[in-house]
Amino acid sequence: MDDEATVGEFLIGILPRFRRDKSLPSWPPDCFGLCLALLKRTGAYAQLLQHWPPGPANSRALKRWTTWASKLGGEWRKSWQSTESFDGVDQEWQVVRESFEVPLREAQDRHALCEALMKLVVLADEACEGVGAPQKQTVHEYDRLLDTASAFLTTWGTLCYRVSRSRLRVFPKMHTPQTGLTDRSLSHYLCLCDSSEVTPHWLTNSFLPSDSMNLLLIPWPFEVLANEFQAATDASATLPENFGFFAFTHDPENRPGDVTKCVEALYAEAKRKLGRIDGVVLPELSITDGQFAAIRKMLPPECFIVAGVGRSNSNGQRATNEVKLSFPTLEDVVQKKHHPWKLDESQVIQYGLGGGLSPYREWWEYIDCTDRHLNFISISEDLVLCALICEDLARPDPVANIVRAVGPNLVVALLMDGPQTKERWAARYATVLADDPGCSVLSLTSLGMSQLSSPEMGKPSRSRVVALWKDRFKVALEIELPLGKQAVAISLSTRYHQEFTADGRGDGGNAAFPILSGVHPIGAAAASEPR
Amino acid sequence: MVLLTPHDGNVMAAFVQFPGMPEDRKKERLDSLERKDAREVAEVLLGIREYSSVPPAAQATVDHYRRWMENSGQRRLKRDARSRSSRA
Repeated sequence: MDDEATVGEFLIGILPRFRRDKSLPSWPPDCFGLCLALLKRTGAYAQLLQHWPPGPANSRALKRWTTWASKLGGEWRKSWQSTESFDGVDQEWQVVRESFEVPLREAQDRHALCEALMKLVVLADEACEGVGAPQKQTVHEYDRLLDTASAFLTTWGTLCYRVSRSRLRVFPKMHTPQTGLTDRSLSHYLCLCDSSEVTPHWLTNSFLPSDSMNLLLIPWPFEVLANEFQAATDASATLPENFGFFAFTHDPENRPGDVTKCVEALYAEAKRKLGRIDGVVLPELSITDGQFAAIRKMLPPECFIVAGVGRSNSNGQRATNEVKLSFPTLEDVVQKKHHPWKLDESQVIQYGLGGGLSPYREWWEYIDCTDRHLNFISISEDLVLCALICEDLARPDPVANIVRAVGPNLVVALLMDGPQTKERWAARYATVLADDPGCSVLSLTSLGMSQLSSPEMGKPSRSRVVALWKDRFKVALEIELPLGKQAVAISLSTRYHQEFTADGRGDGGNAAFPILSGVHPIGAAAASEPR
Repeated sequence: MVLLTPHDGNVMAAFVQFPGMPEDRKKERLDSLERKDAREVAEVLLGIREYSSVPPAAQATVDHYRRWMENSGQRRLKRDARSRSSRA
């Protein structure tokens, strides 16, 4: 009929050297990326799993499969220790090599090909247990694969060696979906990320975790004024009549209170109450770069900061809306918001902005959304954190697919939003991530923004619900600031739970889930709210 | 405390995680460090340089990594125990 794409063409598209040399790349993440991309493209895994595991169907079939995969994956890893060649996957790769001429459309009907691809994916996954996460070893052991993988990840932003990141990326993985059936259901330790406009980064951090972590959530600013939302008049001329740009102004001089003193007082009180505060979180657009620097200088270096930082638009330049991450021993990391907020009629009315922004126009946030990056911070061997800003939690692309693939244990969403009640949008999207892949999600808005939001007609104000927690095991929990308190310190403990891949392999009960294990309202005289 | 680039932070974490790293690999990674103060920290961690010979900021970073090393070792023991009990 037409010039149909073949298995070979598809694989050559990922690794061009297959044109002249069809040998399998011996580095497990390369093999994983190639084979999973093909399984994903053809959807063959769904068909294959209907009759699984391979071999005689009896009561020992699954155990036989998982033992085989674990043993051979372990041997592949050991071969990297000794730099000996590994021939344990030659048979499977031979099947793939002999299928280069098979049209992609027919691939899912070639059982031997699909089974070979699945085995290669699984063995590469088993060989890479623990990549990307710090794992202390003794002087008598040296895991060359872990060390090499970690270096590749930081240098190139992918675990692959032969496969270019311009074609696909392979990243470490923290959670395996326990619902649905996708390519993400097939692995525990590696995930496939399509090459996209977003550059993901993996940062290894030397944070000192214990069995629990205490975070101080400060919903600053305590007051937001309607006149801080202004039409960006110099830019609106580029839009159709019914649209405009708005900017949120950041003028620390016009804001009552000194945020650094406020954070200092609240940190001291939280530390007095809990003994230790490991991290401080501030909402979207809560502070300026200068304030962030002052807070960083004031807090002890071992305390990390995740904060929403902004700069106003000026001289035709768009405003910035970023999250700044400061973790012990690492330089600050900056990640821009990926999507502008669009205020529509209902939101203009909800936040009482009609005096400055017409409700009969739609207002786009006038920010710079170029240069998209997504940072994963590996805090410990079983805890990876990523931060998202407001809309980025809700919009499915360009970052959501990467977040779902990696499945960071903790997602911190910084918002400029109304009350964080269970019924609102943030809870819905947090629930999606908690369900698949299993992330725990914390959302935080400012008290000022929450109070600017009018309650629905006839309903009581919930404006002191400034944060929300959602994990896989429980319903969403609203975190409310009692009157007279200005912050909340929360304790997170790690719950371990066994996750299984769709082919039936367990992870040894090592999937880590931060769960909320304490909520402590914090007040300090120096941090009191404006009257 | 010395603030490290992502690359230097990764190298430091590798030195701490893999005390059995071969000497040639150690040298290769040491030479790849981007900052002079990061090298000071690394050399103390590797036992090439005296702790007292580096500035206080580097000492604070060394202290931090040593605490992290100890902590990470304890966590690995717990992880191994979980895996064993899951297989049992």
